[in-house]
Amino acid sequence: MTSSPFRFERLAAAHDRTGFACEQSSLNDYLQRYAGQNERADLAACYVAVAADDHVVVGYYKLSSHGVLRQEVSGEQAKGLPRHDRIPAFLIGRLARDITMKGAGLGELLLMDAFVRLAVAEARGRMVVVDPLDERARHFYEKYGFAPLGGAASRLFLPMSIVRKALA
Amino acid sequence: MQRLVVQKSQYVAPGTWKAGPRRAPEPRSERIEVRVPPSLHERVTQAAALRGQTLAAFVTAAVNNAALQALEDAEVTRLNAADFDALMTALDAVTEPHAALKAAASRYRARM
Repeated sequence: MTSSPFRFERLAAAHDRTGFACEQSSLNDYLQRYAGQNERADLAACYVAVAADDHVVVGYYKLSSHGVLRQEVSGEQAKGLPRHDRIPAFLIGRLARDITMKGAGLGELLLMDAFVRLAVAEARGRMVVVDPLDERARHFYEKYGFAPLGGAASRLFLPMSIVRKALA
Repeated sequence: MQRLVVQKSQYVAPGTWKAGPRRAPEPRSERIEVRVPPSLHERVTQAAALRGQTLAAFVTAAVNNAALQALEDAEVTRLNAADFDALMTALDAVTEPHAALKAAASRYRARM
């Protein structure tokens, strides 16, 4: 039980994210150019992993609130507005680690850190939703029990009740 | 290269909005300016003409729709009734975490 090689913090100006590089350029661009903008607009919260003695960002994830809606498709539609039921959820919109951290288990630590934050959040959410960019990412989430969210969507979900049990 | 230039705020057709308790429409004070290849400029111009719209009105409406869609995609997932009901059942079921998830949580606790 050595001291942790990483700290997890809310993205701030002091963090150096200029050199961040993972395999997906869209994930690099997001951290470098758009994460701060979304923070200021209160659209999403970005958390970063930095080496324990450093300010260089080696991983990050993005959290936002989400909802799953029931879409009625029936003759009732003609009568007016479709009826919706809504389940509150949390979205981990992005999660990435730097190439130099490959094999260090940082992706897993980032996911667990997100789970810990969501488990203590005051906000209500019945599940965690993720939006994997490719097959590798999908496999990463499925390993921990994420299952397809509906038949058509590429998104996956994991109930918060399971997250809480795992953390207990 | 061609430029597509759009003024901010929605297009308001003449005579379609009335004075009242509602706010006056926003001024069209902002510009969105992007460089595009000639082929795209030509296609958009043709598409706008087919709809009987000015280039500015067409691009403004298209950009607004795309933006609303992107925001909605981030905020909600829509499921059909059968998928939604199956999800509710899954959320109500008492299930144990995967072994891999429990192991990952233990590793996190040990390292953090």
